Amino acid sequence: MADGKSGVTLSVEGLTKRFGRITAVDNLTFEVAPGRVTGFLGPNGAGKTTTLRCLLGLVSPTSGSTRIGAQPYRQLIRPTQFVGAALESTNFHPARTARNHLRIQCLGAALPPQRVDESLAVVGLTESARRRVGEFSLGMRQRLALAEALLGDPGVLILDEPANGLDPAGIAWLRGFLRNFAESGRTVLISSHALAEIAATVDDVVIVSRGRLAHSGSLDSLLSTTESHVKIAAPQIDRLAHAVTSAGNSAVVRRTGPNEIEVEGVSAPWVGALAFRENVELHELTEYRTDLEEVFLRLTAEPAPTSPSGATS
Amino acid sequence: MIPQLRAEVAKFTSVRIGFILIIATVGYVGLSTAAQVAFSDIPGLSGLQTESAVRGVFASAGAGLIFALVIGILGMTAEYRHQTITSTLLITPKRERVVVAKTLAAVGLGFVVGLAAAVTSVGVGLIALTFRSHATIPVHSVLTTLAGVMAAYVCYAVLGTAIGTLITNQVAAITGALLWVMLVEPLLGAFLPKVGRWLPGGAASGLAQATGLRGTGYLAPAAAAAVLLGYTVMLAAIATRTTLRRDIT
Repeated sequence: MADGKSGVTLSVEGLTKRFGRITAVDNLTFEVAPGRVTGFLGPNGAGKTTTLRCLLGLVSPTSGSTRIGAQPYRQLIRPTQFVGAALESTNFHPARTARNHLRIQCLGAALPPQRVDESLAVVGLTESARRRVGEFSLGMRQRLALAEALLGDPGVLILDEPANGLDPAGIAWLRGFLRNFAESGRTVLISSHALAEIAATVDDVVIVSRGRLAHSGSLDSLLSTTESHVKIAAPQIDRLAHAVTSAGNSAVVRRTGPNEIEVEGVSAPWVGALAFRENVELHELTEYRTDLEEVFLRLTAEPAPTSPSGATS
Repeated sequence: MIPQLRAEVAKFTSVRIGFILIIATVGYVGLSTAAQVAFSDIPGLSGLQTESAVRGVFASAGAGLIFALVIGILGMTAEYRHQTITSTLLITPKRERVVVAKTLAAVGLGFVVGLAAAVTSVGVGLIALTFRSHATIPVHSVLTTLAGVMAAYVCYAVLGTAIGTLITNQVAAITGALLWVMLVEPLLGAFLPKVGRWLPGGAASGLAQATGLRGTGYLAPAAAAAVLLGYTVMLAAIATRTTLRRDIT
């Protein structure tokens, strides 16, 4: 990975995929920028894998299009040198050794044979290279799938649930690896069904629910949509509450105890600065944020099931 | 195409099943050849006193044809069974190219298996014949028979690739092919010999210049090869328009 290959933008435009009567992906549009790690999130069955498979030319869209840079995947020449993908940890012939599996991919893609051992070394599988894949644990299969994705030294990595089966050390390693990969200007798209699992890894998020886009943007912008409230305890709480109300136009103050209030719509530093200006002694100042996972659940929530009469159950 | 072809050959040599099938072919051909000589003195059979009968001993090389068919079928269906088709199509997104590479690989593998079968039948046949009185070995016609048998192995491996492309379910493809070769075709050949010689097995027998189809006899080798290739092209054409276009999920 020394030649500093750069990534390209991945784009999904108006993608719809129906399997029979089931709509797996419904008019989905988003872009994935190079130089960043993008998390592709949604509950199981939200259409993540179908979208990734459309992006990689394995599934034909019912309508809409997907592109790697300027071209659909199927039109790329030597595609594995642009895009490395790891879709499922079961894509191996169990009787084949890890090394032979990669050797075959190298032969087919006309890549230099030394890429086999180089990729195995990157993911830490050198010791197990000559073992048959049937004996591998889920975590080892994940590493082998990643090694396969890296064979062509691609500018784009697309990984489907890469953290599944990895131990905490493995997840930490993967996080660092993807971070370095993206910082060299390459594109990373990883899917997950749990935001908390990859929140520390991603810069951007694309959240889907029932095949539709629920949210797309930076993780920071998602965090800013989370609700926060500040708990304040002070001996002269009334004076402070008055100052908060007159200084913060959107602040909602709630009395929670003799010397305690909770304020929505402001941040702890803002309250701290105000108290300092007002010369008010503080005993407690704590900011509470809605859990990221709660935001995710709310964005991807199933609508409440309705009975035929229309009453919610 | 060269990289894809090399990958296909490596897929075959990197798992044991390929070698097991070649060993099975050699074993089955060896037994068939030995049996052909051993049971030649059963009353009612012609014995080994004609050149045609001696040639028939070496034509036993064709006994393992079904294994070439299975090798061809496995080459495609194993990809679907173990989901390696995903990796294969990520490397080569133009699916027809994958089929062409597998077909070319099947030509080579069919040739190797056919050669192994031919060498086995010659070796076992020559040894077995020393235990029996027999007519002179008709060297020239034995060699043309063996060439025809090897061509039949190549055609069957290629036909297997086309079958596997059309029927990607490994169990269904192999079960169907075995039922066809061991049950349907022998019955059709026995009751409708005029139809039988145009069927894949009948054509393979024609290619191997076998004897025995009651009544009309088999097609001439060149016509038989054309018939086998016709089946292959037809199945591959149907597969290209149907199963090959399916989503890989």
